[in-house]
Amino acid sequence: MSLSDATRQTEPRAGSLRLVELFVDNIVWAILAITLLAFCLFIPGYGQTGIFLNIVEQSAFVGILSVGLSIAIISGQIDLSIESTMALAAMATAVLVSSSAAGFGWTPQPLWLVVPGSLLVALCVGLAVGSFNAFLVIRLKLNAFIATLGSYILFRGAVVALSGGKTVFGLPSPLRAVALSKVLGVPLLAWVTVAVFLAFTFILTKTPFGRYVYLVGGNPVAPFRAGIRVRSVSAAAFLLSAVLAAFAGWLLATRTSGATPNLGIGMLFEAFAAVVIGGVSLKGGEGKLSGVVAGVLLLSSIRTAVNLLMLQPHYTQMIQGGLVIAAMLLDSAKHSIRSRYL
Amino acid sequence: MHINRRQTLALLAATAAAYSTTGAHAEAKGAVYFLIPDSGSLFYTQAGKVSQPLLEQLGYTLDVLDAGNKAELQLNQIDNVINLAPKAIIIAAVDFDALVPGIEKARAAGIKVIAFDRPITNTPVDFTSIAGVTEIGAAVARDMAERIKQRKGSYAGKILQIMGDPGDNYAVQLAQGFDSVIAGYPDIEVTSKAAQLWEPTVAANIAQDYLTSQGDVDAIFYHSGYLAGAVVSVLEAMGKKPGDLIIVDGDGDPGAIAQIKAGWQQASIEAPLYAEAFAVAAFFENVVNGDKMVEGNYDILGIGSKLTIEKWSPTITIPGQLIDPANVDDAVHWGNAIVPDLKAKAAAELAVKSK
Amino acid sequence: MSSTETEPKHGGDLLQLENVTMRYGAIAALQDVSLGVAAGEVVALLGDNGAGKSTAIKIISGSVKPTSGRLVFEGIPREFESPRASKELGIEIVYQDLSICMNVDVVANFFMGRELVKRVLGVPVLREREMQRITEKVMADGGTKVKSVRQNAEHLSGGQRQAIELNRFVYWGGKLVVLDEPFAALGIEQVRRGLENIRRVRDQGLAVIIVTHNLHHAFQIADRLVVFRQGRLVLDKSTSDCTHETVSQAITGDGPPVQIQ
Repeated sequence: MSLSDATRQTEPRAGSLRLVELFVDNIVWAILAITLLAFCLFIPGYGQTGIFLNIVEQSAFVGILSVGLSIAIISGQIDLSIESTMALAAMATAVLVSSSAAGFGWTPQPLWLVVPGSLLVALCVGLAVGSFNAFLVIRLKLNAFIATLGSYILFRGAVVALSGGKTVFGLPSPLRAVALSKVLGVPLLAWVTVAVFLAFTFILTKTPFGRYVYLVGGNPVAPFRAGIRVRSVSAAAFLLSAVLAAFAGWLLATRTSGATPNLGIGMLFEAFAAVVIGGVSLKGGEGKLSGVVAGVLLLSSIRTAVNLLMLQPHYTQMIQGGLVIAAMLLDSAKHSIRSRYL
Repeated sequence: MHINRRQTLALLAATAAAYSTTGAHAEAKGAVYFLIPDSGSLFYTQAGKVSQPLLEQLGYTLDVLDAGNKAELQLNQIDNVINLAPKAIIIAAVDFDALVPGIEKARAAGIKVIAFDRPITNTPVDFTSIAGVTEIGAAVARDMAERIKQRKGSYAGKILQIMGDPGDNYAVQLAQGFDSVIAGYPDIEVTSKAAQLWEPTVAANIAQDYLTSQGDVDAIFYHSGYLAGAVVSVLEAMGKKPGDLIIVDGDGDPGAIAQIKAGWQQASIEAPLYAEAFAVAAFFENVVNGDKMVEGNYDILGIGSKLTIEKWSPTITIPGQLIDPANVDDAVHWGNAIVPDLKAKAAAELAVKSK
Repeated sequence: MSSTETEPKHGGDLLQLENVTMRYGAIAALQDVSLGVAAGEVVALLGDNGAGKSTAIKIISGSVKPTSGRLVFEGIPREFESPRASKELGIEIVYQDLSICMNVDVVANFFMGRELVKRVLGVPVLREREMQRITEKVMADGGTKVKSVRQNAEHLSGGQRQAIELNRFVYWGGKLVVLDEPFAALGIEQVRRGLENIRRVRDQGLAVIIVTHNLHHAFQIADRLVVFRQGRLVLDKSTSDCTHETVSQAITGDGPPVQIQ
């Protein structure tokens, strides 16, 4: 059997098109590079290691949220509750160990036990919320958008209830050390963020579970017929996004040395923006964490630029909103390039 | 005040249920309802807690209704309360524009309307008790300038102002008062950044980025002690020690009080919540009787306050109070979350004077 | 049954439906159908909509259980509890594109649910190179050309996707494949290749049932033609013994009642 005429015609162009596609797929990295270069050139004080470390460190929370959100979206679901899950885990951590009036002031012996202890509590909060979401969407077959929107409201309410409307502060020093420590001159939070991205890039690209996430997001019927437990994969996606959010919440509590009822508010939309800018398709089954990293860093570097400039913060929002729209346009452009030439 | 920080909590319909406590005085002179914007805020829950015994001492019952930060819910609450024919309603408005029809209806029904902490300026009410927010900002500016002088020998230095939400009236007025006074010190340079939605992480990022790029900051003014923990945590991560920077806030949130105790923050100019509530009790009978108020200076819980006749209502404006290491534990600070034992009798004495 | 031209009585020996009746309440979707399929044989199921073809497939796949009669596979009477049970025995039903994920590459589709893994510190890790090698070999052996097996399925033609499904079926030890309307929505060239793929599967000694409306395709590929009408099997003959006329008359029930003696 020979190649058809049509195939033969496009063959010589395929090489250059592959390049175009490669570029389009990774354009967010190019944008990030250009943006950083421009900021370094034009914003006094921007081009220094300290600022770059800030960008990575400050990316920790939205970054880890984005990883979970990406997994949920790639698997064909959506999880709007991550921000509230994060806040709830942060508040649970703070209330457990805080020495202030609103806290229990748990001080185990030896004191360093507060670190694994509170982390465990935070992750359990994530597991609980994730199970709740999975139950609503997979067992009760509720629409994921509506169900997790409900969770978003519900669990933010739980944060406020847990705090009694107060700021909860005063974490024991081993816990604060998580946010204060540096390893090789780089903040621990930055290392943790990098580690989370690497670990989940590995999981998504190299393990059967990661493969199933893409299969289920692409066409759940096919993996079902192939004997893959589609519902378990979807449930795992919800659990992962919630547990990652809870982990981000635990880190956030260490960073802000406590928790407030409105902690992390607005981060859902930043995570969403980062995920979309990073090239994850809201249709499911498509996207890479490498793109999402770039999306997170891009948003964080813009935020930092606005912090250094004499700009009003609404510009951050306008720029970020514009980027989201640009990313959507890029996504549809990518598809039309593919369908026309590939 | 504190609008947006709490508005952001408006999402929590789940916890919006009103908490109510009915006084035991069967022979009460009548019912009063206190409409607070949000029970997710310590500030307004404390306002309710301190007002209830005061009004009970005057012979009234007080019920607190929480609007969950929803203007339309608060309007419904007014409509419902009118049917219960109370003597008065005290309102800390979620959004006073939205409340106008309800307020007009209540007053037409002979119910007195008192604006608490958030002025209602677009329709007449019967009394207003507020903090002087602009004045708090100005007081912060004077306080910080003096501390800079004390430390550096001259009125010269750099201040980072971390504002609250730029859409929040409290933040806007605070910044106005601060900026207008600090402008009188030409060698003090101020950089202002806003923490949208009063989100502490945003405040922490601002402080971190600013200190990374500008090493020589002398002082930080964050608008609320709500942001204190996050900002201080970042300073600590950058190797700062308590006292390295001059830090002051402008509302006296528990977070600020904790940092004063920890030595990171030197002072706070707090919103005088208990005095605001006390002033309502002081003039309550006058309001109910429709007495004509007299402009002038009044002593409210030891704070020199000014009563003016504004076009919307007689208004008592109470200046913010300094919290420093010497007085940080006093019960009078709402941020300590202690309900002080206020005597309505003392309040009533004030009222006689006002006739 | 004397009312049906049947030769031989129950066809092949791989799969047999014996006197199968399927009732949905008062409606008989299948009435007393007996049908056999042999290894290395292509059987075309023909008939109008509602004639009983899909019901027959559902019974073969294990989606439904017959009201009466039995199913014998490899000489053993079977009662499939679910589609998975039939699949485990090597029966595969291929619906157009339903078993393909467009968003992943040929390798991922080929190994769907049967990924090769190695354990690294207890973590299952995909053996991508090995899977790619096997996919390339099987696709080449199957005569299917794709530019790259690392290409996503969405960039393939309908025929190439069908080839993935067939090659996958063959590779994983399938014995009987049912293709539901395999040529719907395919171009002429792709149909030609699809027919070739089916022939190749048959030549490897596997059984193929194709369900189609298209008599022309059926005559091109099938060894035997089976016609359903109103729930009854009305024709079961070697293709060489049929003409277009007799078959279309059997389908519609018009013309001389050839099948009734």
